[in-house]
Amino acid sequence: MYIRSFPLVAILILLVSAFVMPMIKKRSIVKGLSLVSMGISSILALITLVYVKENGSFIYRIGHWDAPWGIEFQIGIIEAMMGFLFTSVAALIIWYSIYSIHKEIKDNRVVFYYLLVNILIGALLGIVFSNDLFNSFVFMELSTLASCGIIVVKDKKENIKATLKYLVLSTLGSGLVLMGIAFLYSITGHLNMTFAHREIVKVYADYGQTVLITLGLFTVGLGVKSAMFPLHTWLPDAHSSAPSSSSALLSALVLKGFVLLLVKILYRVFGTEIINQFPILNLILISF
Amino acid sequence: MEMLFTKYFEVGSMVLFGVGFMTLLLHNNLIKKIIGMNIMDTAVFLFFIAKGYIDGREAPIVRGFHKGVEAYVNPVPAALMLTGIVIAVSVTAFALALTVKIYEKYGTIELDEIMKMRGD
Repeated sequence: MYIRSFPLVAILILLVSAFVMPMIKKRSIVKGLSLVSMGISSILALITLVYVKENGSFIYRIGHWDAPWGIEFQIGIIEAMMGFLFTSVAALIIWYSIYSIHKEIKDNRVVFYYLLVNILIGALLGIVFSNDLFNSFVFMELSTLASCGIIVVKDKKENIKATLKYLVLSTLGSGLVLMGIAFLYSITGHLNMTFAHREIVKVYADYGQTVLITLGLFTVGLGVKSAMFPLHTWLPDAHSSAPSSSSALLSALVLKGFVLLLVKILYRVFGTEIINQFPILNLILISF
Repeated sequence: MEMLFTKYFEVGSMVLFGVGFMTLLLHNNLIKKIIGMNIMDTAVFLFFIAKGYIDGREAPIVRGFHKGVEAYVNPVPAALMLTGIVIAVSVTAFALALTVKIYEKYGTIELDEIMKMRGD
């Protein structure tokens, strides 16, 4: 029964250890703390994955509030797999960066680098596990700011330019996503994905155009953030000018979190019945 | 067409959203870009709050006794937009800090001039 709270514990370990870091003077302890917290989170995610594989998906209520009022985590097989993948890949990248980071960034920024990495992975796990639209949005903004931070930490000219480009385009994307959430909330009255799906199936016949606009806003907004094909202009600058370990984190993990959120919104909120009536999958997958 | 005059909160927020979106995309000056970003976010906040407002009901603050669910407007959008405002402020602060850095390194905040200065 305790296993059900492991996804939340994994996120909390990462966030709490991140905010302990600035109080520690010695850099080697900070590096060790980051690696150990990421390792513990990946072990917790692995246990969750084994549990989900045996017992099927489950819903965890945060603070024991029931669904339409409280925030839920829904952990199915894909979420558990992505959670284990994110934490274990991040642990390997941190292990590598312990030996190489001092060559690329200044000594007094190392602490903040590991702080930002922990916040970034915690926020990505939040996007993966959360079953609440606005909670996902908050985690999305958190991960965007943290990933901008691990690009700009190198403090070179091109670096700052690339980060500003990334920040401007991703605030554009998050504005569009927030507008999409506003439309969805105004036609369904729920922020919980399961409840929003239940309501939108009843009412979408009356709100055909609104559903189309909402789908467009979500697709373009998350498309900018996850650098899908026509909206990827910020990616080459940001990824090539970042320090090598941040570049590994950005291209391996950050974009996939947003892709998974788009998949969750398309299939869990709208459902196959609704998205098959619009050409949205043809546009994303380029299958005309 | 009649909706344009009766639902003026929503229409106003859509106009503001367009203004902010175009300012963010088309201006070269970084400060103007950040202003556009704020206008866009504010438009979403206005839209959300307008969706939560129900005509003829009062603010969801219980004074003395609870008048029942029918007497108050929806408090959820206000709570969400409080979070949204905090996020918008922190993004703005980060963007302004980056603009200061850009001015220190390049000596200008016009993006077209910065793009010309490649590889020096």
